[in-house]
Amino acid sequence: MPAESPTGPAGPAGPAGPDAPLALELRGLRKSFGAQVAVDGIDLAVPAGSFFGLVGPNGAGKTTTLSMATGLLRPDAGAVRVHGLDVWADPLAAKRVIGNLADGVELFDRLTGEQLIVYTGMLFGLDRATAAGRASDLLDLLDLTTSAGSPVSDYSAGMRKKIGLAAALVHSPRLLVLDEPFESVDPVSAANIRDILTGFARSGGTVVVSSHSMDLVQRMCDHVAIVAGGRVLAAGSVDEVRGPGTLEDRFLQLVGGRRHDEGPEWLRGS
Amino acid sequence: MAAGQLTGPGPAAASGPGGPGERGATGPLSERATLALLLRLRFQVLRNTLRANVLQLVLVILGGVQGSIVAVLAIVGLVALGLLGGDTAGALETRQRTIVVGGLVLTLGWMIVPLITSGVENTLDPRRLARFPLRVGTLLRAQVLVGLTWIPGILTALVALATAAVWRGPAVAVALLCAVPGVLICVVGSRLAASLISTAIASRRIGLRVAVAVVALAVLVLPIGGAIVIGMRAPEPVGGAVDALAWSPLAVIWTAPGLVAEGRPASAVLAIALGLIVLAVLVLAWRASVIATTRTTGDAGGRSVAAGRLGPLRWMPATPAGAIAARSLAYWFRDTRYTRQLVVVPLMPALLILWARIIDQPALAIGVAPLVAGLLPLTMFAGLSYDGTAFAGQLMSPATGRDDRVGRTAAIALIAGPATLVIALVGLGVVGRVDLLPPVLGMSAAVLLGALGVIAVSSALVVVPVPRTGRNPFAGSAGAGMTSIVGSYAVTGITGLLALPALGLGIAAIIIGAGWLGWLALAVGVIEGVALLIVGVRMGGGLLDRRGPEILARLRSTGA
Repeated sequence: MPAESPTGPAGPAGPAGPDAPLALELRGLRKSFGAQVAVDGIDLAVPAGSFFGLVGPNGAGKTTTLSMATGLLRPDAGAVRVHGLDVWADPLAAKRVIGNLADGVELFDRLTGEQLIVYTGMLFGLDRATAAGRASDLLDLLDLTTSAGSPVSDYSAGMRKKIGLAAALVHSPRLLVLDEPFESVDPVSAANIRDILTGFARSGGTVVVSSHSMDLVQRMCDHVAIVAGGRVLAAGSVDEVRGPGTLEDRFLQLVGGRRHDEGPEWLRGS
Repeated sequence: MAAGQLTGPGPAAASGPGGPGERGATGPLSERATLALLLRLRFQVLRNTLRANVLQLVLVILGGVQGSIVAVLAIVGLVALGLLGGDTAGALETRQRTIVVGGLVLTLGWMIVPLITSGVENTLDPRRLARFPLRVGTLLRAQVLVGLTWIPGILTALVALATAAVWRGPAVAVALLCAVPGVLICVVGSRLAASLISTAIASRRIGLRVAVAVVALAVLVLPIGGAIVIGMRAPEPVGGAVDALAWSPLAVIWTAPGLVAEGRPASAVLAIALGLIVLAVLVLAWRASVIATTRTTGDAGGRSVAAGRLGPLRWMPATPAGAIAARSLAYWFRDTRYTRQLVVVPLMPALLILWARIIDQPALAIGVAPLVAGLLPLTMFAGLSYDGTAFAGQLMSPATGRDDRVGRTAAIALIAGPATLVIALVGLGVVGRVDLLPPVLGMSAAVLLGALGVIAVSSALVVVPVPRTGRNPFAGSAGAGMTSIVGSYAVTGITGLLALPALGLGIAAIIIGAGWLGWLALAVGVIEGVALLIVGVRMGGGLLDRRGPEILARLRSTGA
């Protein structure tokens, strides 16, 4: 096994211009679970150096798409390229450059937070001193230093998100794929994470986040794709996609499904 | 909650035996309706699990067939026992001793299985149901019913009723009558054992763990040990021991019919009374333990350490394989599902060696090391399943399948290797046969490394459903007990076959007593074991590389 990754840490990439090389490219991705089609032909182009938001209603296929993009779920059809590397032809090479925070998976929660990061660093081939040094930097950055020695099973949901993010960052990836990184994270930590991610994108890295928070995506991301029913409804720069209104307006207009009642009678407080 | 919001039958009164269509009703269900609901729930989960998982269905069927064969053989044996030998006193004595030993073994089996397998059926685990308004009594009755209505329970009940075929006259009725508490003692005992071990392991308090271990040992071992010591003093040791065992708590209920047949009705009444007291004590202990369990919040994740304490990550090689080995090793001491093995593993050889000393059968003490060497790797059998979807964290990394196999294997070998060595030395030392060390170590090496090799392949092929802590209460591991038991049989069988050359040489060396043959057995065992391990790690690693995403998908569907 080659010890050194083919691409250096946080590689040099140009600013996210319209003709920038692609950090992530999905072509014709499909996935069905039995009779249920989860992803129905998704094409996406994420320029290197961009901060890319993926938004969509529950069950839109966001998590399925991101799992296929990162080598965790085999697509029925389609291709995924990460910085030109075919994820499904050469998964190990592609995984070296991806930092992945998956949604709905457990962590090795019997390790302490610090152990989990060092463990992940060593999985990616870092030597012990580097992994340990980065672990303490990341714990500090994410306000987890006081819980460094506690087993992750004792962490709250928001702390688990943060430690998962730290594990995704430890090998200094070129592409960060974060599924719902702000879910259950407190506002202060969310703001800190946002700064970290913005800095990461500014220094040439690429960030893909999925989120339910239109507001957050509009403020934070420069590119966005709206998915529903396993298809891309709109994609491009945030300004292109939202047009004159807010991203939320555009989203509701595209996705539909707003209800205009107050729920059943028994649900109302007396 | 507002009363009378929804019309419909009065909730408690009108729920029939099936208790159907109550979904919208508010208010408590009747006891019967609750029991029916819980049982339906349990079988619904079972059906869904088996429908989603053909392999598990096959294993359950295999287990059922195997159990049925054993049960049929037992029933045929019981009928034959009743027909042979007429009504002589000697024949009566043989029948009584057979029934007593059989009943005791059956009961002990029920109690020991939850201690050594962790894949025990737990759809109705009290901790999972703690959030619902259920009485403890209802929960316990539901668990007993679940135990009685699944394959092992049904087969046990049939065999227990078949003991009546051994007797003639009034003893037949007594046997049928005693079968009921007899089977209940099995089921309740098994649940008590499961509850105790999970409490003991989940607790952060060392004192509690030790207390439970001591009580369990006392209940299981003392009466039997005592009976054996009494028997040794009798003129006819084996028979004497069995006669003493007849009055030990777990066997006494099976003694009553034979006493009637021998014309000792007063003793029979005493035996039945003692049996019922045993059942009552077990139920009370179980109830107390369940109440204690529902008060603990899930599973202790281990204690906190100071920052910078990396555990095994500090000294393992800083490679992907080293990281996986360190992580596995940390889990051995922090995850109750592994720690269970560390509790049971020293216990079993200790008992076997003690037993070998008591009944003067050195073969037991000689064989214990290879036995443990074969059992310890079985924990890795469900290794990926224990990871659950945390396996995704490894699948995201560029670690190869071979890194994974090497890491996990190294972690077990680090525990099992020294343990086997110590057990071999102690076992041989106790019976004064340290000269047999080379062949015993040769056999142990072949079995240990061979089993690791076999499991490196099998665990990449089969994802076993295992209990999860703190998950959806209904995401069950229904039928898991049978899957893991049958799967373990298969792995053990294949290992045994593959290790046959070394085992044969080792046994030959022990029987013939030739020193050079022992050294040959050691050499063959080590070489063969290493070869099996290398082949297994390569094959399993390749499988894992190809099937990683599919394994993760399976893990997602079986648990989280």
